[in-house]
Amino acid sequence: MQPRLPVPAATAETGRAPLPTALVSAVAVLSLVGWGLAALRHGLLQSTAFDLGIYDQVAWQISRGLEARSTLLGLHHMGNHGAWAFYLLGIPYRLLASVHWLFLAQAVLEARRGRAWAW
Amino acid sequence: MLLLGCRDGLTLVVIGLGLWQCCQGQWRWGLGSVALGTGWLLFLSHWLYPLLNDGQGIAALARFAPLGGSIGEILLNLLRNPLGIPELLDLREVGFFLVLLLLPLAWLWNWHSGPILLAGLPLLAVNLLSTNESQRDLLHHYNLPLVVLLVIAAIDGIASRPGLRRLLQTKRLMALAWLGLCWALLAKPGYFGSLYLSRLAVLVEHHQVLQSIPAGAAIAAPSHLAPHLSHRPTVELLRSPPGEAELRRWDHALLNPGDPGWGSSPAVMEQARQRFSAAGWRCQSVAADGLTLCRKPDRPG
Repeated sequence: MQPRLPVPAATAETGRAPLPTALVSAVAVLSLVGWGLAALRHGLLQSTAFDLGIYDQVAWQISRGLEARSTLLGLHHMGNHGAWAFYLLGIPYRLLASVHWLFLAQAVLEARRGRAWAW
Repeated sequence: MLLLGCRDGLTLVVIGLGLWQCCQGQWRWGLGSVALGTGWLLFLSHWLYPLLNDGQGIAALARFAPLGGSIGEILLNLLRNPLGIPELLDLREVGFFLVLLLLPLAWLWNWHSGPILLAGLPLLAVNLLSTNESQRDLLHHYNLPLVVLLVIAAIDGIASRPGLRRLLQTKRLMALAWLGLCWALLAKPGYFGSLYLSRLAVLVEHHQVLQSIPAGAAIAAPSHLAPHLSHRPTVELLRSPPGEAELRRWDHALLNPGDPGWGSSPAVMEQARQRFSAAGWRCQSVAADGLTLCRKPDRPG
C-alpha cells in the first residue's frame, strides 16, 4: 500500500524536501491556540508571579537597559538559571513592552516541535 | 551552546546527548558534550551564581538535601550506595508519574529508540530524586525538555518499522484523536471552564484597579496580580506582613484577605493591612471581593 502523502521530493535549489503544507498549517494553528490559551488565562487573572511575573519583569528591565534582577525572586537573572539566551527577548520588548511576547515565543517554540515529524 | 544558554537544567540534557553520541561511537562529540555540560554547570554553581547572589550557589540543591549539600557530595553518595536510591523514592508516586510521561508515545518506540532515550536519563534521574513533587508532574516545566527526546525516539521507532509508518499514515485521524485525547487529559483544558473562572465576577474591577497603579510605583501584590504589574523596577509578593524595610521600599500595596494568592494567607493579608494602617498608609477597598489598595501617605494619587 502506498502512503497517502508521499514524502516531497527535494528541491533543486536547497537540496531539502519542502515541508508539507499540512504540517506548516498545523504548527501555525497550534501556535495560535497556545498563544490564545496563555493570553486568556492571563486575562482571567490566573497567571502567576512565579514564573511569568519574574520573566516579564526581567525582559522589561533588559529592554530598558536596567540591571536584570527580579525583585519578585530577589535574584539576578543570570544568577537564577544562567539563561543568557533570554536577553534576546529584550529586543521585541524594546519595540513594544508586552507580556504577549513571552506567550508568543512559548507557543511558537512549542508548536514548532512538530517540525521534527518532517524528518 | 544555545541549549546551555536557555536554562541551567538543560546542562543535564547536553550531558545526556553526549552519552547518546558515545553510544553511537561518536566519542569526540560525546565526550565534548559531557565536558561542555559539566563545565558550564560547575562555572554557574561555583563562580557565577555566588558572584551575583551574595555567595549563594544553586538554590535548587536544597531539594536534594537527603543526598548531600553539593553536587560532588550528591554524586558521591549515589555512587557509594546505589541500592539505597529506591528508599529515597515514593515508588507509587514515581510509577504514576512515569506512566503519565510515557503513555502518549511509548508504544511507538522500539530498540532503535533506545540511544536517544538515554539522553533523557540524567534529567529524569534528577527529577525523580528531587524532594520537590512539582518536578514529577506534567503541569510544571521541569520535564518539558524530555518531551523533545520522547518525540525523536518515537520518530526513530516509526522510521524503523515501515508497517507501523503505513498504519499511522492510513489511520491518521485515529493517531490525531489519540494525541488530542492525551492533550485533553494532561494539559487540563477543562480548567478554562472551572478553576480559571474563579475570578470572573471581579475581573473588570480588578483590571481597572491594576490600570490605576502609577507606572513607576514600587508595589507589593498577591501572586495572581503581580504579573500584571511587572513592568516597573520594583514589584514584590506580599507573603509576610511588611517590616520597616518594606514600608520604606514600597509605596503601594494590593492585598486581599479573601483571595491572598499563592504563598500568602488570609491571616498574612489581615496583618499586613493592620501594619499599613498603623504606619499611616491610606487603605481603601477597591473591589467587591475585598481587594484593598494601600498607598504610602506621602505619595500622590
